[in-house]
Amino acid sequence: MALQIRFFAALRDEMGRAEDVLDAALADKVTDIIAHFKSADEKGWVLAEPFVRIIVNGTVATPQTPVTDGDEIAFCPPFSGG
Amino acid sequence: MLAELTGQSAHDGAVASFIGQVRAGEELIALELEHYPAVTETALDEIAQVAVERWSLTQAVICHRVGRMQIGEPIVFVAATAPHRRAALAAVEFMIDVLKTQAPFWKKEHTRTGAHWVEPRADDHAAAEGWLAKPQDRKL
Repeated sequence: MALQIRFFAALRDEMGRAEDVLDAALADKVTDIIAHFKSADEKGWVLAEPFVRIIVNGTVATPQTPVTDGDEIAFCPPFSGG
Repeated sequence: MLAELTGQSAHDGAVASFIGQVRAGEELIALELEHYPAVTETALDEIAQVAVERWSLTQAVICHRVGRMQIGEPIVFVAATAPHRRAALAAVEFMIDVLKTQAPFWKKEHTRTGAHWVEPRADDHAAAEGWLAKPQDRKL
């Protein structure tokens, strides 16, 4: 099992991909995932911007939300529907 | 969709609805709507459920399109049925205001010079926050 990472809309464009998979051992919390991408990706810093909305398994989350094997963590720019 | 809601219940005196459609911009060719499947449906269901409870509606409906749309095409349909018009009208306004900033949809404008993601407008946030504030803090 692993952490399923998803990037949406403008964040997908910035990160250059819609999805990624991380070893669950790399992260206890969402903030660890952000730290990973900040060091591993040229544009990873964008995930730490205050406007980014985090959704873990379909529920609104924060950088302090714990993550575990099999979780889906989505990074979303501000919503603009309607 | 409106026809399906009309005349359904003898207790309802009101059917209110809103349709959002693609507005022409100077350079706009088309609008593209992206969403987060499954999470979107849950978010819309929750918004509709809150509206039903808050205004004692008979029914609340939210239907949002995704994909590419041309100028003039509908983007979103919101409707409420209730015994009285004030509840139905207020609920429709609530649902469209809240979904704009609380449901995971993203708009991309395709123009003659390229494509760009649409930033939410400050007044969209203000409208949603007005509805979502605690009752004692509510401005609306």
